[in-house]
Amino acid sequence: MKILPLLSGLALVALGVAADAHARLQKSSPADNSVITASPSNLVLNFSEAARLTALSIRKGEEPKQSLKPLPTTATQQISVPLPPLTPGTYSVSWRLVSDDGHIMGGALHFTLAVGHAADHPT
Amino acid sequence: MPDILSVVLRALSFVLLFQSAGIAIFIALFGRRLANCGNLVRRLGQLSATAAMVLVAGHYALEAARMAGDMSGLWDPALQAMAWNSPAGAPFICRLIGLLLIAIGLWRSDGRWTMVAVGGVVLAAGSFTLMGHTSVHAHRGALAALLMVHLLIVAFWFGALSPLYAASLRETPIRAADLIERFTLVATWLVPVILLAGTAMAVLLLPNVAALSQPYGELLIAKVVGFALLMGLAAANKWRLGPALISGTAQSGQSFRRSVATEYVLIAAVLTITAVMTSLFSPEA
Repeated sequence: MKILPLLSGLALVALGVAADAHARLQKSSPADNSVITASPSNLVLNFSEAARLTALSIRKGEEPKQSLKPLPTTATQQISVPLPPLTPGTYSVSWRLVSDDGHIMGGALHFTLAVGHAADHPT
Repeated sequence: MPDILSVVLRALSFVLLFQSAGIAIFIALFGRRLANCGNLVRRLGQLSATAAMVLVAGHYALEAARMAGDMSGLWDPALQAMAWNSPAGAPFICRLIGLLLIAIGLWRSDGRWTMVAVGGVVLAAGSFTLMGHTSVHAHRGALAALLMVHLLIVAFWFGALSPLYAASLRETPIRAADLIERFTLVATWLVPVILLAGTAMAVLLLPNVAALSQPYGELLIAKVVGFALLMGLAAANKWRLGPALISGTAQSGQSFRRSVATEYVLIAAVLTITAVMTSLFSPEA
């Protein structure tokens, strides 16, 4: 029965200090599940901690995915990558990154570019 | 695609790594009692360690493909270099050297060779503490110690199954029953520590109780259920099937081997769950 107080103590300690070993998306532009009215010039991703991005791509509907470059060569918390001119439709952005514990994690976000609006890309 | 393939290779490598490591531990503790099947058991340990090395290398090569999100990463030198220089590089080397030492150490029954194999077990198990969730945690030292204890006892248990199976076939009934009794005496004290160490790690790694309803937590619960079933089988071996072997009847031997085979499948399933859990999910997600 002595083990129960020990585990409870460990739990109390752990609840206060548990570390987040994996970078997770905190904020993005375009935002996840957002509907935008103009083609953005850049994709901006903000992660919970610095991570090394190893792959980033965008895909419109069921069309083939398109790699986005250049990717940062070091671990960063925020990345900004230029986007090609987008036409109206639903887009998925997916990425792969290496967390600081060595784990490879994937993630995705989705947004819709509404029909009938002009792109704000520089011409 | 690379994720699924990576998990399959990782799960198979876990099964073979723990089998070879456990056989090395079994030989160190009970090798002298394997009069008729010692060579067979050591050859199985060597074969398992060698196959595990191939699978570990294959899994590591796939890391670049996982980084790319598709198989093209396999042939991307930049991603392969990144994988090599990632925190997964050192554990990979450590694990391969550990497995190599197990394969070499099981070559002969001599005590010094066995110590080489046991050194390999410590390296192979230690490689798991060099990466993953435990390696960057605030309580890194405690987690590494808990993980090491957890893994060594899992290897002790899992790796003992094939020698016990072989002993029930090739040793005399009295010798086999004696071996099972001696193994059980040690296992009775050690096996519950698997649960204690695992629980302590879960408490340290999971951010809150709600995390148990996330994929990582659900797989953790599945592992505990598998462990509970295993404890039931182990108890049956200890109290009923092991002692019955002394009678020397064909039926007692078959019942014991069937129970051991079921334990093997269940532990392999738990190792597979662990491979999925630690490859694709995070405790804090």
